[in-house]
Amino acid sequence: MIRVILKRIGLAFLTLFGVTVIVFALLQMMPGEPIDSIVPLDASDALRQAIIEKYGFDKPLYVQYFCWLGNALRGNFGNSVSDNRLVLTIVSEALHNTLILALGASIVAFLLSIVIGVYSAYRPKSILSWVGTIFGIGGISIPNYCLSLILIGIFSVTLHVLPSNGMYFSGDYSFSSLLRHLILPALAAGAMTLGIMTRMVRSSVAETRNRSFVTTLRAKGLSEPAIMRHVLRNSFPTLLTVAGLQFGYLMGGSTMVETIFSWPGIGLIIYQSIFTSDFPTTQAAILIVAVIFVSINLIIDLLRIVADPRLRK
Amino acid sequence: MSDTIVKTTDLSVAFKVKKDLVPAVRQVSLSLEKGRTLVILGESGSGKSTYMKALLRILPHDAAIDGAAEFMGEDLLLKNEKEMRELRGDRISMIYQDSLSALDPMYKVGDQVIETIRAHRKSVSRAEAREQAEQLFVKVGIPSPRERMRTYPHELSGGMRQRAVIAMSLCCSPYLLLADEPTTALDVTIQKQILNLFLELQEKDGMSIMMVTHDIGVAAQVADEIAIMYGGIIMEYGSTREVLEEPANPYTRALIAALPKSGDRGRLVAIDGQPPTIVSMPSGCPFSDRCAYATQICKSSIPHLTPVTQTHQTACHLYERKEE
Ligand SMILES: Nc1ncnc2c1ncn2[C@@H]1O[C@H](COP(=O)(O)OP(=O)(O)OP(=O)(O)O)[C@@H](O)[C@H]1O
Ligand SMILES: [Mg+2]
Repeated sequence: MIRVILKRIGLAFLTLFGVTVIVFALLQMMPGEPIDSIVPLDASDALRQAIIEKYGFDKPLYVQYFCWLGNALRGNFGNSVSDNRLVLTIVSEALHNTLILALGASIVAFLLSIVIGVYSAYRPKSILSWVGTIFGIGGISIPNYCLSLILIGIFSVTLHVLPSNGMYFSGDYSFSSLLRHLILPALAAGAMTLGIMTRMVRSSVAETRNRSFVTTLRAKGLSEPAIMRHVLRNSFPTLLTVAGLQFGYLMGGSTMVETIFSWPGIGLIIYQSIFTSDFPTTQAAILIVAVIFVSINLIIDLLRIVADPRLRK
Repeated sequence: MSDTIVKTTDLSVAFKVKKDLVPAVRQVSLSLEKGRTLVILGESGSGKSTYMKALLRILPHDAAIDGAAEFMGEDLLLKNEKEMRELRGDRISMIYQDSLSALDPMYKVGDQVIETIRAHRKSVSRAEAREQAEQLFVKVGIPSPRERMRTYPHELSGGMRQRAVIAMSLCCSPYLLLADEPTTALDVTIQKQILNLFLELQEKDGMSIMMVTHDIGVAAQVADEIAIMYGGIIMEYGSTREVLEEPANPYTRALIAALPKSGDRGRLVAIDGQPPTIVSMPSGCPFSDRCAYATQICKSSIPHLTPVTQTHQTACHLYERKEE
C-alpha cells in the first residue's frame, strides 16, 4: 500500500515537472519578445541592453528555465507588468475568489446530482428521473457562456433580482452581498458538473444495484434502507473520483463565466493578462492552476485507496 | 401440526425475455419434511437455482411466479415484502451458488455476518453477535476466525469465502437451508466437514436442507430424497436409493452416467447434445430431442409425474405406456 501511494506521489511530481516545462515553453512560443512588454519601444539601446541583462534574457533557455523555476518554487513570480503589484498577491487573491465560485458551484451541483441521481436509479420512471435526464443532456450540451447570458437575461435584465457583475455591491462587503453575486455565476459554472454528475450517480448506483451481492443482501433479509447503504458505499469510490475531477475543473477557473460576470478569479486573470501581455502573471496563473489540478488528482487517488479496500494491498 | 417444512404445488416461474414470458420452472411439486434433505440434480440451465430463489422470492421483479408454495403451513406467495424479509436469512436462508460475488466487497466478512444476525435478532448486542459469528467461523472450519472476520472478501481464498458464506447462512439457525452448490468450491476434507456440520444441525435443530449439487457422491451421502430437474420440469422424484439405483427415466440414467462421482472429479462423460435453453424448449418432453427412446408422443406432449412405487415417481411417456 505504501508503495502504491509513493508511486502516485512520484507520478504527480513528474507531471508537475512536465507542466512547468510546458508553461515556460508556452510563453517562449508566444508572439513578441518578452522584453518588448517591459521596455517601451522607443527606449535607448543601452537601457534595453541593461534590462535584458537584469532579467537574464541573454542567457541560454535552460538557464532561464531553472532561474524561473527556482524563483517560482520560492513563490517569487516577480511583479506584474501592467500594475507592478506582486504577481503572487494578484494570483492568490484571484485563486481565493475562484475557490469561492468553485465551492458555490460544486456544492449545488454535488448535492442536487446525488439526490436526483440516486432517486432516479431507484425510480427510473419517476418525474425526477426525467428532470435528471434533462439536466444530464442540458448541462453537457449547453456551453456555459450561453447559459451565463441566458441567466443574466432572465434574472438581471428582465427580473432585476440578481446582479450580473462582480463579487460585491460597491461598499457592501457583507456575506449576503457576496451570496447574491455568487448565485448566477455558480449556476452557470456548475451546470456542466451537475449534468455529468447526475448521469454518473444514476448509472453507477443503478449498476451497483444489479450486482449479485445485492441479491444476497436481500436473501439475508436486510431492509431496503440497509441495502441502500451497501449500494451507496459501493458507488462511493467512483463518485468520489468524478466529483474530485469536476472540482478540479472548476478550480481551473471557468474563464468564460468569470469573464462574463467580471468575477475576479483565476480565469479572468489569465484572460486579462494574456491581452495585456503580462507574461509573469499569465505564467504564474497557469502554473498554479496546473499545480492545483495535479494536487486534486493526487488527493483523489489517495482518498480512493482509503475508500476502496480492494485497492489497499 | 404436520412436519412438512416446505411444499410447492405446480410452482412455475417465467422470465420476461423481450416482452415474452418464457417459463424457466414448470409446475414443480416437491415437498420436504422437517430434518430431512432433498437434493436437486440436473444439468446447467435446468431451473434449479430459479426454483430455490422463487421460494425466497428474490427473483428479478419482472419474473412471474405461479402456483403455490407453503412454508410451515403458510403460503409464501401471499406474504408481503416485509413478512418475506423477516423470513429471509432467519427461518429460510440460502447459500448462493456463486460465493465469489455473494459478499459485499466493501465490508469486512465478519461485519456482514454480524449484520445478518442483528437484522433478525434486535436484542442481540454487537459484541454478542460478534461472539456468535466467531463460533460459526470455527464450526465451518475457518482457521484463526478472529483475524479472518476482520478481512475483506477479496483477501480470502475462494474456499475460505465459501465457508464465510456458509457461516452467514447458518447464523440465525434456519429451519430451511437452501443450498445452491454449497461445497463446489471446497476441497474434499472441508467438504466433508461442512456436510457433517449440516448433518449435526439437522439432528440437533431439525434443520431441513434443499441442496443443489453436481456431485452424485455428495447426493448419495446426504440426500433422503432426490429430484431430477430438466428443462424446468421434475423428471424423476423419489427416495435416494430408488432414484440412483433404479432410475425409471432415460434422462436420469444418462445424467447419472454423466455426472462426476466423488473421487474421479472432472471425468465427465457428457450427455450427447446440449440442454435446451428456456427460449429453445421442445414443445413436448424437454429431453425428447436428445433421448434415444423418444417417440411421437414425446415430441408433442409434456409427461407428468406418475408413481413407480409409493416413494418414487417419474415423468416419462415410455413409463406411462408400459403401465397401460
Ligand atoms: N433473470 C433471468 N432472466 C431470463 N432468464 C433467466 C434469468 N435467470 C435465469 N434465467 C434462465 O432460466 C434458466 C434456468 O436458470 P437457473 O439458473 O435456474 O439454472 P440452474 O439449473 O441453476 O443451472 P446451473 O446448474 O448452471 O446453476 C436458464 O436457461 C437461464 O438462462
Ligand atoms: Mg444454478
